[in-house]
Amino acid sequence: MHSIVKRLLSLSLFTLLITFSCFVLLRLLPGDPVLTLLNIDELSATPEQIEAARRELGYDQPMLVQYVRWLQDIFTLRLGNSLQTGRPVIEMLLESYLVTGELALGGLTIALLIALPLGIGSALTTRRSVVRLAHLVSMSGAAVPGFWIGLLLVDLFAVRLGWLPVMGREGMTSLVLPALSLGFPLASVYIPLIRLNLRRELNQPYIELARMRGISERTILWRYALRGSVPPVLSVFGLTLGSLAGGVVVLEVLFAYPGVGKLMVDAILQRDYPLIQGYILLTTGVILVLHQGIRSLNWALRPDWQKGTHT
Amino acid sequence: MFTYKTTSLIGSVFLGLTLAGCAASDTPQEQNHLTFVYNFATQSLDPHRDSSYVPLRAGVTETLVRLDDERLTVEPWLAKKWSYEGKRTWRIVLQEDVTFHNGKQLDAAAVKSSLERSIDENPGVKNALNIETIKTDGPDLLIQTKTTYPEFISELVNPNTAIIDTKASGVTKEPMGTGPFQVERFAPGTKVELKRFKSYWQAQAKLDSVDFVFNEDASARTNALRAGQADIVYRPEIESVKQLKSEGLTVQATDTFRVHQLTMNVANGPMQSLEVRQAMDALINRKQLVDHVLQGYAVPARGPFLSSFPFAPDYPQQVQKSPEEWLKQAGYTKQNGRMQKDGRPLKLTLLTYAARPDLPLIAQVIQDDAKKIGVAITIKQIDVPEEYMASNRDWDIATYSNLTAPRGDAGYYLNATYHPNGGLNFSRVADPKLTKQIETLNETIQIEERSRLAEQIARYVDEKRYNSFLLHPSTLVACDSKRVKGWKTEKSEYYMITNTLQVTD
Repeated sequence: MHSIVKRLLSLSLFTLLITFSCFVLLRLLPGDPVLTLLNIDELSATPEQIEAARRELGYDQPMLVQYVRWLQDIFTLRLGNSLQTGRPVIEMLLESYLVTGELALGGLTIALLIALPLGIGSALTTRRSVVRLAHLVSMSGAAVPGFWIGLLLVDLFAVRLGWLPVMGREGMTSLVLPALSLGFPLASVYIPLIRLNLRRELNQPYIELARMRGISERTILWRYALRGSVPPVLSVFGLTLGSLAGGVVVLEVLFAYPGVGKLMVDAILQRDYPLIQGYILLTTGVILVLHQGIRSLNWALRPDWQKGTHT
Repeated sequence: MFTYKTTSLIGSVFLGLTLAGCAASDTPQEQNHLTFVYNFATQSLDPHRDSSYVPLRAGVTETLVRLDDERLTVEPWLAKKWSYEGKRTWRIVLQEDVTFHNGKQLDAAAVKSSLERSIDENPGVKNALNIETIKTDGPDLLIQTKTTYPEFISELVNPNTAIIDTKASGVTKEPMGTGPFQVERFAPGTKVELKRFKSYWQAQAKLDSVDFVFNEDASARTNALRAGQADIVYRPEIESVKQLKSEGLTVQATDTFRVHQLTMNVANGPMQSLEVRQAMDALINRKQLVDHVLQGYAVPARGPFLSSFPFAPDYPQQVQKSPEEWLKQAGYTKQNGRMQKDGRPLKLTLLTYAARPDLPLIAQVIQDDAKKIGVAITIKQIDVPEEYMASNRDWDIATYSNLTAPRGDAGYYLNATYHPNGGLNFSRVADPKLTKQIETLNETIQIEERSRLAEQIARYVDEKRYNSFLLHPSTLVACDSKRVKGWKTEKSEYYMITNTLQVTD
């Protein structure tokens, strides 16, 4: 109980630190939310009117006062209202996170569908063709950016063949091309990772011992070797999830898939401070939860990691 | 752990989804339905806040007055007529028999409430409308402005002043406007699904439904049109224009109210000299910029306003002098290939920014041309031009782009750019003669007289070369003109989905 309280306290302190540093950094960046709000490049505004709007929004107050006011907004659970749309920040973020989650899930499914058979297959076999295929897919996935894959896929499946939608978010069909564009580069990371860790695990003395005891190769692979090789892959998986939680801006724009990445780019361009702060808070929370989840899963799979006795 | 069975299951699910996708794409396109792809996305349909103006552009909301695209004058819309009553007061007579999408009648009280909401929600609108009081007078509205404000009526063209039923809930997702289309579904950042409003006060829309789709990637918009998944796309990829035309699609280029200009810092440094400003202006090869930077999709600019505006002046014939001659007149001489005065070479700092991708290219062309006559230009990339130029004086010239008469009146641009209190007066122009001319314009209500004064000011600004105007970029719109009828790209870019737009199969 004591350790849970201690952990929660340290997480809260960490979140506070992150949000405060981002709050300060944002205000040091060039750009003025008041000018954007007044639509200064289309509507007349005298310097006096600009200052009046700044006062009304409270942006003339010291930074610490502004930060405390934002902290108060957290307790309303709305995280304030967006400067641009006037909508509650929490509502906009949850909508976008849902879309990002959909895209991330699609991309990760594709990545695993490519990486698992190729990674495991190339670790188990001595056939050079399989190893070469795994290497080729991995290299090309790493070398070609997702948006370029997206453009090629759109040209083939949407423009030439007319099978899939070019853009939009209309059910599962519109997820296919963005998921493929996201999943292919992701798979390139996991193929060598799975292969190397599995091969290393298969060379462990306890695997030799299992073979000597007559345990079938299938059981050795699925029950022992894979279990042992998963934790390092899971750690990288945690990092991938963390980066996906931040959004995939280029693909979101290309496929008009309105995730949190695109929402943030717009918010930063328009200096929509409440929306940016809300994003930082929520994303920090999501990443912390993900890390904790991955850590617990690794400990469950490799209890020696928790004790720090692994070599 | 994954087993072969699990892996195969996931594989089958994905394959199924792909096949489902293929099957779904075979669904026949709804008749009398149009898909329009726009180049900005919005997260809210609140017409008083949305800076993409989607509710107005999608035909959901309407304003009291609108811009006529041919004459570029302010015309009645929800307001039938208006008159100036004196004492800063305007009488607005509303159209009769107009209903909101929820069936509620449009009356003076509803318009008052809507205008008050736009002022409360949008500080930019509050400044632009400059309203002291709004009163209802029977079926009419009486609006008193804080100061004498002749451009008040033209400011009502602003899409953020659109009239909605403020009593209706859900304004961010389903605003109750008076336009020919009403919102059926809004997916923030993705699209608005529209259906025909059957009780529209003018002729009912010819289309049954419209998908107003957002996509900020030009190649994706172009692909949507090529794939037959869109009927009209706004701003397709310039590089794809030839291909689109070869595939039988139509690409329209229309001049806009935007001008790309070279803003001069006349507060300090070499640009204080009129001759140096004349030299910079003479240096610019506008045709080259139009042909090579904008690939022909622009028209050279002589002044800030498009020549079709009633207040765009006929400029006098320019004195044909080369940049070198102007610099010589300013006291510069060429030594060792460099223009110098009192032993100091002419070095200029040119600001540019990436938000408009053609501006950095224009800056490079100017830098290159200046080098040929011995003027060294250092290009400085900035993030937010309005903020930088307003608070720094370490620059001499800047590429800048703005809308000069977005609501059909010259007052906004002339005040913002050349009045000492103007929000866009980055040049720091403080010319008493010019200020007096602008203030006279601000007191003049009569439209013809305003046009005459605006022309006079534009000519004076040209004479003094406070800014150098480069070009008016065009807006490109591509459509399948065999299917789409009645599309017209408006110069104002305000009115897109209209009751006259239709499709034929």
